[in-house]
Amino acid sequence: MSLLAQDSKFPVHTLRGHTSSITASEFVRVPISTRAKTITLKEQHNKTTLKPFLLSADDSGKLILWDLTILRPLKTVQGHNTQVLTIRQLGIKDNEIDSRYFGLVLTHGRDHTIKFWKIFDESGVISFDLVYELPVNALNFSNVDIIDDIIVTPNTQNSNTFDIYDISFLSHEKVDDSRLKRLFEAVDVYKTAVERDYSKFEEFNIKRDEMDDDVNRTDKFGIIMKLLFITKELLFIGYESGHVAQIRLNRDSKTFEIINIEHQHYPNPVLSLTFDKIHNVVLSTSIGSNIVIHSLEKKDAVDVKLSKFGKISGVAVVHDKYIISSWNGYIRFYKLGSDHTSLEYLANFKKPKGLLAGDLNIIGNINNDAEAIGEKSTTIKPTSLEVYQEVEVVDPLIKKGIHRRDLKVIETSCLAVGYGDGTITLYNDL
Amino acid sequence: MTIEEDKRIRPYCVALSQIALAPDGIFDGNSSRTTQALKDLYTHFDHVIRPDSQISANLADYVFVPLSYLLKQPKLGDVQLELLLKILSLLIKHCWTTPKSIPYVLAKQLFPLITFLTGGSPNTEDKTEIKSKSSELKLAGSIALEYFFHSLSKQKDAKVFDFFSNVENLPALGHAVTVLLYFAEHGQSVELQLQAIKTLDTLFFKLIKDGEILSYILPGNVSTLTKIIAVPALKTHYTVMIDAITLLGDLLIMVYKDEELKPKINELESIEDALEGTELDVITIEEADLKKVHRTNAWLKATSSQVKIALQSFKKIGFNVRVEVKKTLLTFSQSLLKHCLFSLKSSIPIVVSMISFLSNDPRLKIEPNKTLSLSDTKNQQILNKIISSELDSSVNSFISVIQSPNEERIINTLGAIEFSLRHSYDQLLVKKLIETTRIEMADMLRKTCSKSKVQSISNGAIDLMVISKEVSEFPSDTKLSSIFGKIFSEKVENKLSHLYNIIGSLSDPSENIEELLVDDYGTNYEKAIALWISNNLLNGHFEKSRPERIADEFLDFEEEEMALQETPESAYLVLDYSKRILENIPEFELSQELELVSSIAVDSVGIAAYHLREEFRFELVDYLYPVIDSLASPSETVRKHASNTSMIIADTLYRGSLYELILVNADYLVDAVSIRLSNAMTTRATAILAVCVKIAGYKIIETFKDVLEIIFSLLDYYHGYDDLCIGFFMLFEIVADEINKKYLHDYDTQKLEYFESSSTYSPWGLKNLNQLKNLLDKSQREVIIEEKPQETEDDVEDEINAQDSDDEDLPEDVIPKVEEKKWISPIPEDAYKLLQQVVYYGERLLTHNSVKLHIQILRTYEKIVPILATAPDNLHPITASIWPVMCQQVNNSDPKIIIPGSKVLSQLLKYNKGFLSTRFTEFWSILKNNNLLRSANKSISETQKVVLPGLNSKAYESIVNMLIAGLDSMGRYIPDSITEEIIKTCVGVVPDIERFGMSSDIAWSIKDELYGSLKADQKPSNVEASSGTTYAFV
Repeated sequence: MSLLAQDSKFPVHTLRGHTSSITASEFVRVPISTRAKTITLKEQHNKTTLKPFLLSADDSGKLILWDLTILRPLKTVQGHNTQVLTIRQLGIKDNEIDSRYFGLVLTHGRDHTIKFWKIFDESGVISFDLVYELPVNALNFSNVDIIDDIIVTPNTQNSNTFDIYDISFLSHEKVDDSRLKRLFEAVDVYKTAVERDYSKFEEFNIKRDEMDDDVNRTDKFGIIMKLLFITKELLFIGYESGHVAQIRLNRDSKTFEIINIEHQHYPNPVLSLTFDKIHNVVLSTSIGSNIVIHSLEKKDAVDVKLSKFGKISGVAVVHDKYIISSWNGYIRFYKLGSDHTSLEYLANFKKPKGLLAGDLNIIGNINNDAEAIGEKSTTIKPTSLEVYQEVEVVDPLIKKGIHRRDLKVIETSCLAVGYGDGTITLYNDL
Repeated sequence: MTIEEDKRIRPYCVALSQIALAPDGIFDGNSSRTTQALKDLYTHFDHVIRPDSQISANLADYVFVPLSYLLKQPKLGDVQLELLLKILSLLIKHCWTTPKSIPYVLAKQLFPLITFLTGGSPNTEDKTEIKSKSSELKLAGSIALEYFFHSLSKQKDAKVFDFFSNVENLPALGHAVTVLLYFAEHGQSVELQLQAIKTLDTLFFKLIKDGEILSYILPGNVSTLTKIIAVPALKTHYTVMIDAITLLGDLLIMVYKDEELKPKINELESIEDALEGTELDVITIEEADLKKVHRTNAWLKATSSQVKIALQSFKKIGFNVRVEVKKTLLTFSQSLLKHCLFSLKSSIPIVVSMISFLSNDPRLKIEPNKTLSLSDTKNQQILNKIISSELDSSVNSFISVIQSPNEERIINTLGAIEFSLRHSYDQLLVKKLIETTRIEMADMLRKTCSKSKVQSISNGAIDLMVISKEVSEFPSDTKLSSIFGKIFSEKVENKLSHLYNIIGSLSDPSENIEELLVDDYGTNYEKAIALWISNNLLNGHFEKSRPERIADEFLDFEEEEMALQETPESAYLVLDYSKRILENIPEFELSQELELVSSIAVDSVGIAAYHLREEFRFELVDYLYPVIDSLASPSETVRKHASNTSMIIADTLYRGSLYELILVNADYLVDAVSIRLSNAMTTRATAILAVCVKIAGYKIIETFKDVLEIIFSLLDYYHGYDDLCIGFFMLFEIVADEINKKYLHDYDTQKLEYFESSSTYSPWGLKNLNQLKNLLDKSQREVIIEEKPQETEDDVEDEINAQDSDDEDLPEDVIPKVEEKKWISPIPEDAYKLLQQVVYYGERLLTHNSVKLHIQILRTYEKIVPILATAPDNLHPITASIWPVMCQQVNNSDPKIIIPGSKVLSQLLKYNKGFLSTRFTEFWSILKNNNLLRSANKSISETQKVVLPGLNSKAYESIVNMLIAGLDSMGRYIPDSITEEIIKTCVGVVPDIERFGMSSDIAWSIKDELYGSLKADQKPSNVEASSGTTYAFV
């Protein structure tokens, strides 16, 4: 007997440390101190071995850094005083380390700040020191994104536009924010698109005829919902109107060029943007159960509808697989079809939850209708998805110097799903 | 000797002479006079002579003269002869020992004479003569011979004469040796036996000192000495054994000494040779030597095989012989190896196996490499070859030995294998041994163990609950008894385990363990044995390196790091294997096979924990759960092993505190439970959660709310399984306990009373007549309202914060009061909601028909209701929801349910007060037709007693208590007519009418009406409960 269906993929562990809903997480790669001297010496000629730690954040602004070897919190910090929207590690891209920023992590909260933390030093000793605090506009729920030394956030005053900052001053010994440079300010893609007659946005007209004004009052893109850097020049922006814009930035001339704008999600807001490097596509989702696959090559997009899935809450990519979570509590594992226009179902998981609940909001309800008392929704919502792609430690000497359990963590892919109940479940062997 | 002394002895010589010179007819050899004269001479002679002094030849002659006369007399008695020999001994010792002091002629006469006097005439098969002589005489003769031989050796050394080089003395020599050997074997006293051996020793090694001569008398010596040594049943005194062994050893060496015989091994040159000869190597000696006239190749061939047979009989010496004997045997064996490796080659395997047998005794501290080391490397090689072939044959015989019912035989073989391996480790043979052990033991187990399931008395969940109660004082002296009790005695098992420990310590066990722990075994028995052997190998390996490792930890940090790297992977292999086994053990229906394999797997974890020390902390995440889970196994054996392992872990990492082990690692346990709960239905996992909660307290409940959701979800789907549900509600009960402990431990229950009196239904808070007067007096009325019961600070604050709902100026958009209401319960809302959830699930499951489940749910309710009562406004809707089903419990036909049901209902009535008045009244209208109440009433009206069978009486009592609780809390909100009805039902069994509280006057009048006023006033005698409980009415 089992609570879960045959095709369920079972989590290997659950991290229980947060008491409110998980809102963001990031696998932070930390240099691992190997044990024997000989290895340390040899190591200098090799790439540093990095071990993933999970940094998670919740609705209350609490940050927890988890050691995945012992599955326990190493550090717990009240990073923000409200919901955390984004966590990103700096100075590492595709396992290439940029030592200027390596060791830094940014957290971005709805308390209108981006905080930069120094969480470890060159030898991997963990700390958790606030380095710099950047005030931003977090009225919309948008994330921020960072690539190398540039960071994109919604504009300080106008949530419909974005700013890009140069944060290279963080690499200096002494952080001097007079060096903080705003490379782009209040970039308004919609305005440019209309001005340059990029698109006629016919969907806005259709809406006037067929839809109720209450559904969508704007005939613009509205506020920014999601930001995603593909390269330092290539940026994806998801809007409240459901439009996904792909633009090319020119840092020198401080101008940009619109590559493509897609409207499949209209009129629902874009809720996620995910880059799949292997297939060179970006996946976007909205509140529906469809997923839009944007091809970087062809500069177009396909709309794929997932059956019996409910509304998608997040997408993660590992190897050639997609992990998609829905608001009805399911995590499903898919594979992109060979034609890049369909998804192939692999497995799923749903956190069990009782049908009855204690409810303090029924005070005074003293009728005998037991059915009405204690009924509740039967889902625990997945609220964040994060993937770690395994790295093989090749050098036998280094391999020998690493604790076997650390080695296992390094060499095993991992999916971390954060839930509304504050738990994070971990999956291996994706 | 001074002249003085000389003079003191002479008179006695004269006296003796007078007797001795008496003519034949007159002389009486047995007369007391003769005896006295001999005695006088002996005593004084002995007294006068200082131990090391010499006497003059003159005096010697003077003493000897009467003796020589006496000797000529034919009929001397034993006593006289004994004395005579004693005097003669003194003479030899103190006069005739120095070179040239004894003439050859005298010696030639004396030797056969003494021998004859002591042992009778030679060349006779008839032993009656020798037997008839007294023990004392034999002793005196033996001593005399010893001194005599000693004297002869002095002559020989000084080259005066070599007594036995003259062939005419050889027959006498033969006779003397026969007599002495006879004494050594059959001597009536230990003293005589020892002396005979001592005399022989003097003869052989002080006097003769010639292997060639000794070789003539060797066979008789070997056979007699062997008889002495190997007499079964410990008949020979151990000191005699020791001396006999030493003598035999020295004799063999003297005769077979390699240096003298110069044997050489003729290596085989062709296959034909090998086919012809039984022995592979042929030993030959150089014969062209004056010293080897007798000792030829033919002689060697014949005698060495006799020696072999003799040594084989040494096996009869049991293991229980005294350690001194064993030590001598060891020396004996070592000497043979050293000196007779070639000439006695055929006996060497026996010698080796003798040493390995001796090595079983730890007191001898035998170190194979020291004991079996020879200075000559070539010889060492030959010895090693012999040892290897011995090992080979032991291992080969192991198949038949291990199945043997003869315990000693198994132990000896194991000991021999161990000894040989310690001397020369042989990986191939070890592999063979492991293979044999695995297959044979698995086979034996399969034949012996029954297929039947291990009987468990109760379900696993309940078992573990018991553990959770005792968990802090868990028995730490859980010494594990043997695990293969079905096929071996504990001794054999220990020996086998010890052997594998040794093998593990001799070489890196990784290879063996890797080969052992494969997954393609057909049966769990094979897996069990494979893992058991691995455990022992690992134990042995670590045990060896452990002291150094621990020292390293303190001494040198870097060293410790190195040691860490050397942690063999095999330890993790074993862990991994055990985990796979434990994961596949079913929760119930444990067969003996699975019981065995899981016990061993649990041991593996303990062994790994013990040796990995701090490193094992990293493994807890995977291995703590299976161990704790095994604590709840239906098998007592598994539980024992599990508790042993958990104590090892606790000792290693948590200073022996199992409590701390679980407290610190509760998160791992919870995690493991959550995965298992969603994977498969398990009641044991729930029990483990319960243990965690009990130990870690409420703070852990906060972290595993998602697990509770899984449980609720399981209740949604699998509510048909009683055991599962009971397990969950046991957990809930413990959760309620912990919430109570955490938040209500200093909570004044009087506060709950306060909530009661704050009920809006209470009669204006009036408590006495004065208050009533004041109420009626308008001028005082305001005051009364202010005189509300005392409020605690919290409540005052609450009052201040609460908005006055009567306020006419209330702004329109203000949120209604109910929702504004501050959370006043000390219980956090989350916990409150959780308990509420539990109540709702209980409510649904109370429709289930399992009595056990009902009882458990009601028990849980009993714990939860007082906690929920801390927020009375929230209690009302919950009460409303469960009221109908609770009434059903009280109105149930099963008294086991009525009792707890009534208790919970009483609580609800107490904490909800007037809120329930209508429901209570309605319930009474149903309850009054209850069978139990009706039969009780019938009983009262007929006999004025309530007589109910068994539990029914208790059930009745509990209903009555509930009704009283109802009357108590509802007070005037129940119509008087109903109050009367209820009291009529109860009053019979309630001796103290005061218990009816505000209705006590009604009670009094009813009682009076029913039983008369006098009786109503009387203090009742206590309710008497007998087997068919009877309530006596007063």
